[in-house]
This record gives sequence, structure tokens and C-alpha cells, in this order.
Amino acid sequence: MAFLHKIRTVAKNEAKTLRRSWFFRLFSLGAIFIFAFMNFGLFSPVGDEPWDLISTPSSVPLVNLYLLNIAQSLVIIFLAADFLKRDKKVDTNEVLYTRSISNFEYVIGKTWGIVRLFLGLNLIVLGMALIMNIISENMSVDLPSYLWYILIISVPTLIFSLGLAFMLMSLIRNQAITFLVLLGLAALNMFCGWYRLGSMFDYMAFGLPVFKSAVAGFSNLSQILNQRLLYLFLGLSLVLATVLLFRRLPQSKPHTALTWILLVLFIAGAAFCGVNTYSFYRRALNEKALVIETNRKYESRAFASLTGARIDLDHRGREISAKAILVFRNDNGKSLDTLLFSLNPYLSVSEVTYGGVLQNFRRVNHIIEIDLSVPLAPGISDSVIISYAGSVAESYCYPDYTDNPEESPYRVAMLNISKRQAFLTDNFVLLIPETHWYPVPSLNYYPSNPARINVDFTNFTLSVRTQGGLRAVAQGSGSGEAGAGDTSSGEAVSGDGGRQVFTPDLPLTGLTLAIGDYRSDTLTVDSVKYVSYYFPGHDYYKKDLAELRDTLPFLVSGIMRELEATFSTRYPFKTLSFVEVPVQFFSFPRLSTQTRAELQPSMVLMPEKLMTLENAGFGKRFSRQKKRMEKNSQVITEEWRKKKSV
Amino acid sequence: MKIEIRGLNMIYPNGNHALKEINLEFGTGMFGLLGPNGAGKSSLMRIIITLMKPTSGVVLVDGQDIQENRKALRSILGYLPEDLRFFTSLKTWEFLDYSGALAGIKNKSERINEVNRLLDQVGLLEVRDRQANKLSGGMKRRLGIAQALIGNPRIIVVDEPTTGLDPDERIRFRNILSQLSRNDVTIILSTHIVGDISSTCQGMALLNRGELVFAGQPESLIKHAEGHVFRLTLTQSQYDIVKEKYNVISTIPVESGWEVQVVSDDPPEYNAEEVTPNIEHAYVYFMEHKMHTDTIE
Repeated sequence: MAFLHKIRTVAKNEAKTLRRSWFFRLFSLGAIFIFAFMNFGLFSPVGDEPWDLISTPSSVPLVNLYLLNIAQSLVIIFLAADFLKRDKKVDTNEVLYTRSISNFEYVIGKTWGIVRLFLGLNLIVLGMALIMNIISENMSVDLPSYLWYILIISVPTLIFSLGLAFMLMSLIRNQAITFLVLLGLAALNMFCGWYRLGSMFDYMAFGLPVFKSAVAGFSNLSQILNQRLLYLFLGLSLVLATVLLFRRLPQSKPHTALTWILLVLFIAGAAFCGVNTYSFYRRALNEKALVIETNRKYESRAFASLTGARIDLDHRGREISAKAILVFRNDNGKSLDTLLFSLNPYLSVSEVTYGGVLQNFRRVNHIIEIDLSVPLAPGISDSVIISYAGSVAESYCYPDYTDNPEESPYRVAMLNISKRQAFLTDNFVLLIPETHWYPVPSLNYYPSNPARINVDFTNFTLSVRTQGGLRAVAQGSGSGEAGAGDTSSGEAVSGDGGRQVFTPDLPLTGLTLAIGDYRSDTLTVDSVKYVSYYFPGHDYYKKDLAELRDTLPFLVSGIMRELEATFSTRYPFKTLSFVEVPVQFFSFPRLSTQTRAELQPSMVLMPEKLMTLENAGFGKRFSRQKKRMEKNSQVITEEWRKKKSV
Repeated sequence: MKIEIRGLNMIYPNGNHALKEINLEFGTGMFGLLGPNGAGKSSLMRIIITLMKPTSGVVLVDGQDIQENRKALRSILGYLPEDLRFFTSLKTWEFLDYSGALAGIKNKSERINEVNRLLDQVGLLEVRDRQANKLSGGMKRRLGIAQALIGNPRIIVVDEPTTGLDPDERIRFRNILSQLSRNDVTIILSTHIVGDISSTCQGMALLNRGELVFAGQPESLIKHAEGHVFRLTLTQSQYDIVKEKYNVISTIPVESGWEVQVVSDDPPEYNAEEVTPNIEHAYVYFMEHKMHTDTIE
């Protein structure tokens, strides 16, 4: 096609010219040198191999492109403006302008020429990273993430920066002012714009959390795609506007019409994605405000105490369906006319049965109000059955915390990670008590007294049916029901179509449920089962800590005794589970107790591959210490080795 | 290929009336646009090569309005501007290759052959791998004409092609243009160097202050000056009087004083000897004398 031939021709020659400019050569050679050095120093077998960067394979392309993108988004400003300045040498370009090429073909060719050159540089840097990634023994390779990051980090930034530079040069036609505006914009992005309105203004993805978990993938893919498409579409719109503003008489009416059509489409696309990006941010704020407002209305009301709960839950992709039999008691000094429960607002209640009959109820946001025909006298217990289904609103959790990344950044190394309080997907589920995934007769936040907490010790029984052979994990020992499989490790395991039933040893203040493709290892010491739930391939520590295997029970016993002595109490549960969860899982400290949701009764939620734990790269740590000791002529004893491991 | 210019006016936003009701017609061969700086040559050329839209009037190529058919015109156009600088770091052949690709030669080997043929034609084959912006002034101009020729254009527009060239390069360049004009193409040559016209053009137009003051063959222009160019040998005091009274077009110091050539309607005093005019004499006569006289009349 002549159309593509001309675009390719302009692109090829513009790229060639730019590639031979001293500025680009200096930048690209500098970038290649610095990134080669960085990749070698960080990711090669003889490098530092920091655990927070090597534990998740997507970190390798991410850290490379994140840094390169910041640099190239600044450099492209100079190159694009310089390039356009060259266009002002009128006679030279008039030679090209008198050729049979449309303005659309010329500007698009020019844009593609610059973009493909920078993409080439991106690919070289990623290639170096990939080589280190492949030869490293401690990292796996996440090839799709290489493609993902180039698409979501580099491409929108390049197109937007170029489009803006082109447009400003077309309008202002002054290189100095264009520099000033573009550099000012970049500085605003990096210093004060990146976190505002849900990263709405973060065109270079400087603070946008784009981390890809090995377990949950991009847990905020919609937010990422909308924000990045916003800048891709805006960039393309600016490029197309440059075509229309181009100071050359147009030669092709179809191309001019095509430019207008695409311009309108891209502007509409940018507006759509912009509205979506803002909506994600606004919706979370509104939902939190609604939770607080609703709680304000109910905080002075009397609630029953939850003494027992039997929850039958089915995992259905991005939703759950459940029936909860709740046993409660009136511990107030007066009779209760109305039963009040909190349930996550995205979960719809279908049916309430009280006293064996269907009962009318009201739903006010997350509050379920059930009027009792006979008031519940003080000290009296009763039960209600509530059936519900739906997804969960994460904004419901911690309504007193706004998720402002500037105030509470969640970064591992330099990587921005999105904060998630719940997961409900086809492949993975994590529901902590804060989500109120089952009805709770209390509020999650008391606006007039934020330090107030109201917890009931409840005898839970949880029955879970998973899909796709996934395994459920919750507190307590359990057993399988129909079709249940092995329960020898103490946790319930079901076969296809079966249910897994969990019955905690003691009344708990809350129940946590995780569903995933979990593997587990169990160690029983002093009648306590220590169970480690991990995702396939994430048990790297077994190899690193192999030498500990025979003495592990003694070591664990010693640590537990030490803890019991410190807290002057016995560990009350029969199990202690360590459950691996995606690194995006993030909780805020409760104001009154400063406890966080990572620590649940008899359960600890651990970040995937212990990414956030500085010393979790055991193998590298040991070899480094060994080298240091050898250097100092110290003797490495077996006892030292074990001590260090612990 | 017939080019017709009808009622062409160009008024710039600052009010400058650069072209005033230009009507002109010419066909294949070399056509010269002559005029002093500011005469409107560049405006006329920029309209012809579709870089500018006239305020009113049309330019027709074989009956087609070029503003309505820019794509068609640009696909048969070759243009060499006065000050063609080359992009840094593009080699001589690469620049030509780029021009060839834009001119529509899609096949790479065909394009390379054409590039080499043209480089050979303009005597630049030996420097094909040298960076284009490092060529000498004459070489650059030859590369410029090569890029204007690639893709076999039917209309070639060259703007001040010999300005700044040494005599050898100027002659060489004129020869290249002369050869081209035999190939059934229309070459429009804009210049203020009168010699370029006389040695190459079959037809010409003379512009002054946006107006077309002459159109026809160079010989017709020369004819206007016949009987109006004189040679005189003068002493210093005579010379001082003559240069005040007449248009002196050349002054050569001789043993007895000065030998001068003047343009005048009537033979001057001091034993004036009539000289057969050339186009330079005719241009001066036309611009400096006849037009002034016409205006006075």
C-alpha cells in the first residue's frame, strides 16, 4: 500500500537521522551502559540479587522500564523539539513538502520514526535484563510481563510526550517555551502530580502502581489500562491535531477526513478512559464516605453479640454465594427490637429467615436491619439465617483511611504496588474479617470514637465449595464432607464437588478465608501444627534451609516457648498457619490496637515469596556471610549455620 | 505539458501585494523567471509548487487546477530550492534514496539503481557515501538537482540554482539543466542572474514589483534594447558627467580614462558607438530605463 510505504519511508529516514544525532547517541549509549551495569549488579549470579527485586520475576522488566521511562520521557522532549526546530529550516523541508505525501502520512511517519527508535532502545535494555533473568539461578522468567510493561509504561509515555511536543511546537513555534512547558509538566508529574486524583495526571507512570504479582497478576488491571489508555489516546489525539495544524497545504481529502475521524475517536477514547480513571478514585472515596455516614447513623444503636456462626460458602468466579446461620445473644441491658448486622455493601442479601420463617429486612448501604416481632430480652440467645451473594467492596475496609499513595506509599524497592484488602477472582480469593464477608452484628468503624472496637468471640464453622480444584484455607482444623480428600495435615481438603469444612479450635474474633492453588507443608511440634500454605514453586526456602530439616522441631519449639514466655501466656490454638498471599495485599493498622490484618488468630498472611522481607533471600544471604567469614578466617560450624537460618 | 497562469494575485496578511494579476502560459522546455529581489518570483514559484495558495486566480497544468489536484501535481514535481541544506548524518546516496522513496519508487533495487544513475549524471557517484551536508557548495547544488530529478518528474522548479557557485560549477549546472530541458519536461528556472536565462531558456517572464512586465522569448527581450546600448571611451571628467546622466552597465579602466557601456534611448555624446545588446543589456534597459520612461509617459 502506498499509504504504508510512505509512512514507513518517512519513519525509516527520520529514525535514521535521529539515531545519528549526537544527543540520541549519547543518551542511548549512556542508557545501555548504565542498564547493563545495573542489571549485572542486581540480577546476575555474581550480583547483589536483592530479594525484594528477584523474588517476583516481573520486577526485572519493571525496574528496567520504570527507570528508563523516566529518563526517556525527559530526553524525548529535547529530541522532539529539536527535531521540529529542524523542520523550520524551510528550504530543506520544502523539498519534502513538494513530494506527493499527505500531511497525515508525514506526521505519522515522523512520530513512528521516533517512537520505534525509542522502542528499540527499550528492547535492547529489556534484552539485557532478560539475559540476566535467564542466567540467574534464583529467578524465574515472566516473559509476558516484558511485553506488558513495554505496552503500559513506555508506549503511552512516548506517544503522549511526542504528541505534546509536536502540538506545542506547532502552536507556540518556540523551542525554548516548548522546553519550559514540557519540562515543567514532567517536573509536576514527578513531584506533585503523580498521586492526585487516582494518578490521573501521572503520564509517565511514575507513581502508578503497575506491579504484577506472580499470583494475582495485575490486581488493578482496569485502573492501569484506563490510565495508560488515557495517555495513549491523548498522545494520538495530539499527534493527529498536529497533522491538522501542520503548516503545509493538505493534498488528500480522504486523509484529512481520516485524521478528523481518528481525532474524534481518540479524544472520545481519552475522555472515556479519563472519566473511568477518575471514577475509580471517586467511587472509592464516595463509598468510604457512605460507610462513615451510615455508621454515624447506627453507632448509637444496640447490637447483639455473635456467639456462633455457620457459614456455607460457594466460590463462583468473581463472586461468592453464602448462607450464614448466625447465633447471637442480647448482651445489652435492654431488649432489642431490631437486629442489626453489617455486611459488605457489594454482597446482596436475598433472604433472611428468623424463627423458621422468612423475615422482612431493610438494607441501608452495608447495614441489614431485621425487625423482630418479639423483642429479644437481655441475655437471651437466638439465631437468624441470612443468604447473600455478590462481590466485595474493598473501599468498605478501613473507611477512615483514604488510599492516598503520597501519605501511605506502598513501595518495595522502587516499585509501586497497589494496595488491596481483598481478592475475589476466578483463581484466587482472600477475604479478611475487615471486609465483612459474612454478617457481623457490629460496625467496622465508629465515627464519633474511632478507637472503639467491638469484637465478639464467636464459634465459627465454615464450609466452602471451591471451583477448579482450588484449595480453601481458613482458621482451624477441619474435615472434608462429601467427597473430601486428605485431612491428615489438619486442614480440610476436598475433592471435586466436595466441601471443605473448617472448625476453629476456639471462639475467634474474625474469620479469614483464602482460596487458591495452594500447596502445603505441615510440621507438628508440641501438639501444635505449623502449616505452610504456598503457591506452586514458591517453596524455594526448602532448598536453602535444607540443613535445618532434622533440627527444625527443636528450633520451632524453642522459638514458641520464647514467645510464650515473652507474652506470659500459652499459645492457645492447635494450629498456626502461614498463608502466602499476593504482595498487593495491604492492611492499615487499627487505631486502638495498632494490629494489622496480616496477623489473624492462628494465621499469618505472608507476602508472596516473602518479597517484602529483607532477609528472605536465604541462599544469597548465607553465601555472602560465608564468604565474609572465610575472608576473616572464621570457622563455620554447623551450629552457626542453623542459628543463622533461624 | 502546458502550464497556464490566470489572473493570479497574492496578497500576504501584512498587506504586501506580492503578485498582481499575473497571466502567463508556457509549455515544455526551460522557462525562466527573471526579476530583481522582491519582484514576486518566489511567491509565484511557491504557488506553482503548491506550498502556498494564491489569494485569487488559478494555475492550470494541462487544464487541471493545481490547488484542486495537489496530489497529482506533487507526484510529477521536482523542486530545488535556493538554500537546500541536508539533514545531518544522511549520506549523499541516502538523501537521494529518501527522495526516491517519497517520489514513489517502492522497489529498493530499482531505487538504488536510479540513485546511482542520477549521481553519475550529476558527477557525484564518487562521493555517494560522503555525508551530504559535508559536500562543497557546487556538489550540494548538484545533489539538489539530482533529488529534484528522481522519480522522473514532468515539472521541475529550480530556484536561484547558480547563486554562489564558481564559474565552472555554474557552467556545469547550466549544462545539466539544458540537457534536461530536451527530455519533454517543463523546467521553471527562477533567477536574478540574467546569464542563466540567456544560456538556457526558450521562454521567459520578467517580473517587477509583483507585475508581469515581459513574457516571451529572450530574443524578444533583447530586441527591445537594440539601438539603445552604447560604448563610450571617456576621460575622468566626462565619466563623472555620463554616470549622472545615463544608466552605466559596465565600466572598464583604460589608458586614456574609462571605457563604459550605457543604456539610453538616444545615442549619448562623446562619440558613442552602438553595441549589439545581450540579455543583460536588455534586462537593464527594460528594468532601469524603459519602465521608468513608460511610467513617466
